[in-house]
Amino acid sequence: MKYKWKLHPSDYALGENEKFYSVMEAKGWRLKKRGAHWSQFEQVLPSQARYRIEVAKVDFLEGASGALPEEQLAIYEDCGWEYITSRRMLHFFRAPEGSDAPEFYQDPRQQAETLKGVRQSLLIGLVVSFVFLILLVPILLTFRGGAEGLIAWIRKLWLLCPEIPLFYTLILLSGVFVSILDTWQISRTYRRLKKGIPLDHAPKKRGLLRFILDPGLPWLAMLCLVLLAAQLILYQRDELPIEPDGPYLVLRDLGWNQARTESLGNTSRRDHTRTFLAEFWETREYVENSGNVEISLYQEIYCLKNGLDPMDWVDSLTVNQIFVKDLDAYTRVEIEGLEAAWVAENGMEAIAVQGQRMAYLTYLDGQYSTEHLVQLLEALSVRWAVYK
Amino acid sequence: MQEQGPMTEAMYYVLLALLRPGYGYGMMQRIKELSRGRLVMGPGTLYGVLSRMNKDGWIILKGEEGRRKNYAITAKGREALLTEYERLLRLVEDGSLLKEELR
Repeated sequence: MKYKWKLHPSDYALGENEKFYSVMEAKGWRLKKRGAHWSQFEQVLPSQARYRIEVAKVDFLEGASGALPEEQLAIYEDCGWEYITSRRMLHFFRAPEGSDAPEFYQDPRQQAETLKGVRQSLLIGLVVSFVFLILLVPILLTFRGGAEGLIAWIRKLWLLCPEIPLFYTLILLSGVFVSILDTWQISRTYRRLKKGIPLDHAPKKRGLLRFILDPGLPWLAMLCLVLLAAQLILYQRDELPIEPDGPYLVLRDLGWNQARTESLGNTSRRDHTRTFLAEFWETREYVENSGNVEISLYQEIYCLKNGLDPMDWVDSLTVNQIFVKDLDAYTRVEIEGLEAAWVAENGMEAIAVQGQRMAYLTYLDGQYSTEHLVQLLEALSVRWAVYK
Repeated sequence: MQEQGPMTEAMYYVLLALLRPGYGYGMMQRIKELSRGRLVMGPGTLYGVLSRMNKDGWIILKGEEGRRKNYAITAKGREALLTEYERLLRLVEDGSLLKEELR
């Protein structure tokens, strides 16, 4: 037996689905199973057949699940309708064209009653989703740094892992628009039936907009997950090399030649990843010091791509850091070879921008002086000039 | 007691068919026969009417044969059918004026 899968119309386009399955049967493919987006067909001899969909009662209060009662199924089958399959509250029947099997309903108003529960549950779902989204806003604003912190975090995430915000945006958009469209579609069908206008079992067009929203957007979201998986596979986390292999510094460049050590269980390491928007290095390094506290250097280096200007993004670097969160609290300094540079008054943090590169650095040398930060930025400028 | 509203054609014929106990498809055949072929009731319509009338106590489940359920009309259902029949008779009687006017 040969089988094939084909994308079907959305659940609430009842007439479109009925026509779709009739056309498939005429081509020699009979419906076997219906999934979320795809239907499975088995090969048969081409024939003319009518397909009809019964929408089972859905009622939260009475606890109706959307299954079709056995008694109802028996009446339909006795009348000549062959039960094929079900998907959630939709139940699919077929009868050969020209058979005596009567239409399910003579009066469209009676059929309208079957859609009442689905329509109500879709409307309730829509309201609940919007309330949930509204409630989500204050929760998101409790994020470190409030709305500004959240935006900066999303901006950084967008550079480092664009697949995640893209995935959530696509899923959210698809969820919202599909819910609205489903509710609109079923409400429209319900109103027409209620007015006594029979269901069109062979409507002409299939909405392109509908296809873009569902399954188009969920597919794109899935593609984002695949790209994310690829990025995670290619993500590198290694011990920090003695000689830097990227546009970053090691403490030896600053004259610290002591042996590397651990800090709170962390060892010196280098992370590296690339996306279609940026290439990114993150390093942390610890070396022994004569006192109790080790010398450490933490760096986030971005090399932006596709025409992104680091000056538009540099303020996102500080917001989620531990010490100074606002770039305006930094002091601008002139460093040869850097387009822009800032140092924090705490003597620990510095920012640099040059060409497509931008960097955030935390330097803990026990002295905590802005002069040392300037030396750090000068060393970085030399490193960037050497590493193209 | 709440006054009984007019019945739908489907309700009227289902009650009429159930003057003799019967199950789904048998009822549909009987309705076709009673209406002299005029009314071919759809299975969706029939199931909807049976569920509602069972809930309202106009019909009662008499027995089951596999997935099929046998129903019979109750005294309450019989009374409702009679009330509807009398209402329809009055409508027809009132309408007799039409014949005289057309003559």
